[in-house]
Amino acid sequence: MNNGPVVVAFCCNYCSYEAADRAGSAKKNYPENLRIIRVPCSGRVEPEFIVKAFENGADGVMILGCHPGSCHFKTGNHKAYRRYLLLKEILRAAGIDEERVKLDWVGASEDDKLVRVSTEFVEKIRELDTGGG
Amino acid sequence: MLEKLFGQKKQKAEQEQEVKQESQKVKTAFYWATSCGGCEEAILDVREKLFDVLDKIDILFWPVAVDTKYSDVEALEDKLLDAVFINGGISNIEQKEVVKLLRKKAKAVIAFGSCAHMGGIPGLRNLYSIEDGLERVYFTTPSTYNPERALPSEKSELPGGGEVTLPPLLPNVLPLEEVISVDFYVPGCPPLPETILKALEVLLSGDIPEDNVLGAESKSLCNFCDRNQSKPENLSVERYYRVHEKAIPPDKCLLAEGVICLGPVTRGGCGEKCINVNMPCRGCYGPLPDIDDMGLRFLSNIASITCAGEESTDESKMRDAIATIKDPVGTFYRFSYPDSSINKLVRRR
Ligand code: SF4
Ligand code: SF4
Ligand code: SF4
Repeated sequence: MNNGPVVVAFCCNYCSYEAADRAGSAKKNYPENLRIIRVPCSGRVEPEFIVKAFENGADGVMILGCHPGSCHFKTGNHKAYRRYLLLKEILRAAGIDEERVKLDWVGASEDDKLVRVSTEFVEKIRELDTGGG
Repeated sequence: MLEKLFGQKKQKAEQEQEVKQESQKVKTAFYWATSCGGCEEAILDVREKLFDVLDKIDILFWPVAVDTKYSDVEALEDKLLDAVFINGGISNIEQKEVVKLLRKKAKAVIAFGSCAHMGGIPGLRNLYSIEDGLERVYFTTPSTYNPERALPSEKSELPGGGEVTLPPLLPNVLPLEEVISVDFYVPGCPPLPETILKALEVLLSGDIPEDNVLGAESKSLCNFCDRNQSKPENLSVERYYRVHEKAIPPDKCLLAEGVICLGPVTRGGCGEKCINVNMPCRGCYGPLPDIDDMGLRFLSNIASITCAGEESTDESKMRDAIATIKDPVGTFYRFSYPDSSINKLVRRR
């Protein structure tokens, strides 16, 4: 247990979850604030899931998918990207800091990127929380 | 209790029995909260069929049409009213108190119209603080002329002495069900006469749908829309248009042509009123039974069809296409923002 922010990361089975697994096996450190949820594809992450994560106490939500062109289901990640763009607009209008949601591409071999992206995101959320975002 | 309203077989009534029936009439009340008045007119739009109903009901309270006071309601026995119809969302403390009082006096409460059902268009004010909302409405809309910067205030002195008061606004417009428990919903902005009559029939039949939404369909508007056949299977929209920006042929799916139409997530049952006059559906009949958050589900729909060709992997193209959607929150949640999970989240914070 710790008192820092809770960050939910939806990781796709074929890329970013692989990367997280790899980071774990290689004993690389990533923030303990991360709660990883494995999904079959970033395109499976409905905006409802993201809002639900916030309802249940998450301070930030990441969607980590495969790089454009390498989605296992061809276009799931692009759909995720378009949802993300729209959801950010809605969050902004609703008065929720849109930076609390982040989408990024993390390939299966990019364990270093996973560590970097999640560390930066947790820091960002910590800033928002202490700065009153 | 409501079989009294539409008694299947008309009794060959003797004088005596009529007196008895008088006391057996369905006791009703009508109330408007944050309402534009359209829902009240909708009841009158039932026209001659209304007279069949009026014969069988007693109206004990109806601020817009009958001279009754809150004290008349207070004086009623608890649960005396068979059916109370409330339209409009709840946005000030007076409305909050009145609906609580009506709830106490009612066997069944019916949220009538989009505003009572989901908060409605006035609920878009939940996107702003009270101060910013008043500022916009009283000072800065293009159609406002208010050089004295007059604002309604909770207390005003009258020139001849005395004062008048206005009930304070609540920070948010609330769907009726967030203030009192609601038994049934009649959707629409306003509900159409057909919907109203169908809702009453459903009430009478006792064959109430699980979600207690009366008088509408449980399938999407697209299912009833003649333009649906024109919708291509692999739909891909590269840019969106506002209604005045593009002429849409009368047989073409508006959404496929790039005009935001909420048909896919909205209940059918309105007779495709807007579609028939070449206007997109704005979603007034509310979400399909399995949809929790209408705007979020529609967001997914739009994300699926925007630059959806397999060859389109260009993120900047997607951004450009999404940017052509004007006011996504006001468009996806035109009638349902107070009922959305996002607004509820913000309100809880
Ligand atoms: S539902 Fe529509 S017609 Fe009824 S009060 Fe609200 S805005 Fe007016
Ligand atoms: S999206 Fe609108 S125009 Fe197209 S089929 Fe559905 S209701 Fe009709
Ligand atoms: S088409 Fe849509 S907005 Fe128009 S009346 Fe029907 S449900 Fe309401």
